[in-house]
Amino acid sequence: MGDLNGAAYSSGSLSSNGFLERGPAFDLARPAPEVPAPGVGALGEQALELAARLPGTLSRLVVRDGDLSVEVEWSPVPAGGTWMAHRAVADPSQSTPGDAGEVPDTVALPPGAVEVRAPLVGVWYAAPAPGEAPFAAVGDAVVTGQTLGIIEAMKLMNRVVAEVDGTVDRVLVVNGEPVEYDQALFVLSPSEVES
Amino acid sequence: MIRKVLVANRGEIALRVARACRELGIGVVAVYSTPDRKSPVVAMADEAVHIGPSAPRHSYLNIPNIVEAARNTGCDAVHPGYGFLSEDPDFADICAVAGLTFIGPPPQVMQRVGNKATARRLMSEAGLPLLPGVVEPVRTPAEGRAIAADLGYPVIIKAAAGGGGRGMAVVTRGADFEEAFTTTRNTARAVFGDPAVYVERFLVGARHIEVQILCDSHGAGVHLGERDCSIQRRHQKLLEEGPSRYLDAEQRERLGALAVQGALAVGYTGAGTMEFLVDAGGSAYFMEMNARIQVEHPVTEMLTGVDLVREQLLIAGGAHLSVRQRDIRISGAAIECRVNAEDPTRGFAPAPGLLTEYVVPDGPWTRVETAYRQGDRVSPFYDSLVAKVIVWAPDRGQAIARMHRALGEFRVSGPGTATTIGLHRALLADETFVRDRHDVQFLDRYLPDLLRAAADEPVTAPRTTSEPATAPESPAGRRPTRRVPKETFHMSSANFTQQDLMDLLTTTGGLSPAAYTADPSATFDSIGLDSLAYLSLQTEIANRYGLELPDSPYGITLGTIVDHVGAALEAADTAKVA
Repeated sequence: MGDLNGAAYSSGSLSSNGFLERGPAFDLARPAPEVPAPGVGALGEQALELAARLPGTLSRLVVRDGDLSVEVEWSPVPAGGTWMAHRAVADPSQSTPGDAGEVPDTVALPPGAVEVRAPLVGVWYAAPAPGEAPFAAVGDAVVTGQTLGIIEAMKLMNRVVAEVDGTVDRVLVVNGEPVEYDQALFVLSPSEVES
Repeated sequence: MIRKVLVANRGEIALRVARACRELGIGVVAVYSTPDRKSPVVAMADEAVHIGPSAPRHSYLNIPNIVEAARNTGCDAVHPGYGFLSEDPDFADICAVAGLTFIGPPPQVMQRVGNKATARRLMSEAGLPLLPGVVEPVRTPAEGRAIAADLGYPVIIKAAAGGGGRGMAVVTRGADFEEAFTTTRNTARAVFGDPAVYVERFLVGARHIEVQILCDSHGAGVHLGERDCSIQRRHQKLLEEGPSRYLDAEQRERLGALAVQGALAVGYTGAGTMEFLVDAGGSAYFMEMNARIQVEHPVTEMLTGVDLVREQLLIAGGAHLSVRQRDIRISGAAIECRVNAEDPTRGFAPAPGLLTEYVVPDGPWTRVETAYRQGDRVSPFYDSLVAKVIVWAPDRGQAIARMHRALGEFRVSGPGTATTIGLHRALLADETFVRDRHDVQFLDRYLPDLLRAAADEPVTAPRTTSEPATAPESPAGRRPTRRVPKETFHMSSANFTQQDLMDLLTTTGGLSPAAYTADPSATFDSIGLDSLAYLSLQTEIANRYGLELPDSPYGITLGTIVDHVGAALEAADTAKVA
């Protein structure tokens, strides 16, 4: 029986929730790391790659080594985008049936990822002033309420803020670019989701 | 010349504007709310910008989003369509400041014209006739009641900042005035944010006739004839047509000239409409000015061959008017029906259903303006207009037959759908409408009868005749298409008396009891009634007793009328007994 990353894993038994036990270095909500976790082995690597490429949210992953086996279970992406699809316009009084069922952008989002979308039409500014460092770049950790950028409209600067704690996974707009209502600006990977 | 236009609207009018731009080689940018993202104007535009969620205040009324969308896409002009921001002076001003040409009049002109009380004063100064009334807003019920007593009942109380037929109340007697006044003020405050109201004489039996004008920015203006929009339900237009029987050629020219005069006097530019109420004698009174392209503009286009939206674009680009007054010819007859997704049998409740079947009419001189396609769902977020069907024909009779045919071809069905098509067809078959005898109160008054007729719809074309009947007919020989209203008809074998006539004249023509006379040789004008009151009486007598009075009150005494009605009643009684 392969020993995966030091977790106790006796033959024939799974962890209590069916998930492959992992050490703290690995988080299923993240995309598959480029460097395999130590001790995973070939089957484990393949299982991780599979989990990362799922067209939905992982709900069960079983890996055996003896006689090889991988079982994967996932739930389809619910209508409206990823289950944690996030709108910068958070006011529930504004949403009506006609606005639900928004088709997400064509980029496939990693499971659990959160999109930050433009609440108004204007021009995107990534930094506080020309020449300065951007508010948020790929890999940056951000906290709720932190400014991610500015949309200028009618000579007014409107801040776009993060509504969750997390890390910037992708930046989808460039400085000076015109943006429309609901346009995707960032993909964030939220920090550990509380159970 | 304008290069690229942002169409700040949706639905059929957005498509209309986009088409005119295409024909002029002007670039088109569409803006859309979330539920409109698959609309035809978005598909046909060069570029499209998502400007907000469904709620109009966050999308089609969202000035910053719209202006930014125009700037981001390099537009040099904005067309506001009708409704939404089309008569918002702030929007026009903001566009100007942002360097965008607003396709419409200058903001200050729009502001002046948009306030009903101000517009009345300006037009009065420009020489247009007004209904007797008070131009200044009326502050208290006591003040209003004194004015009303002076003008003579019936009167109408109107919100100065109102429009679209809302914020109005008709008062027939002094006792009702105070309550109507207070209610109208409250409505005005709630809906328009301004409680100011004014009081006018209310014309019974009048027609709503509006004149289309075009003014360029070089001081030239033309009129393109009138549209008769008297078929209204609670001041909402349902059917429009042109030309109007109430105006002869000379009256048309005079009214048109007045309309242009009024528009130029306030510095108007672009396409606009002057609304009048016209009595049976052809006397016109200015009501309000609409500083935008209107829903029913295709009626004028069919009659004159002038593309009004194209003219708007050219004028906004600084061009001189492309037509002179003498070049404008009004030919034939045109009718427009507004097909709304409403159920007339359930109080016109909106019916935003799924259009599983949606096949629009076609054929000779049949024009359809719609932004819906089969498979679409009627939008529940915006107005209920689904399509406009417009026809043209050499005369009114043929136009009615053509529209009746066209609406018969219009197939709309699906879960939750209902339209006003059935009601329109019943209207087109109605004898009063066909004989062109209706007035602005007609639809409100006879809606129940029309709905009954719509329920058993005739398949063949209505009997259309252009000549109104002039000889009185006995009720026995007449086949009315409409049942006489039960509550007014009392089949009594007693003669119809002069006192009965006086009562009738009070109901229909606002005759004050102080003017009553028992003298059978008295005439209409000797008791102070005008041709308008006569028309109302004529209509009412036709409806109640099936008796057709002569067209003109001249040479007729009150005694003659009493005798005729009495004779008709007797004949009916005899027929019953026999």
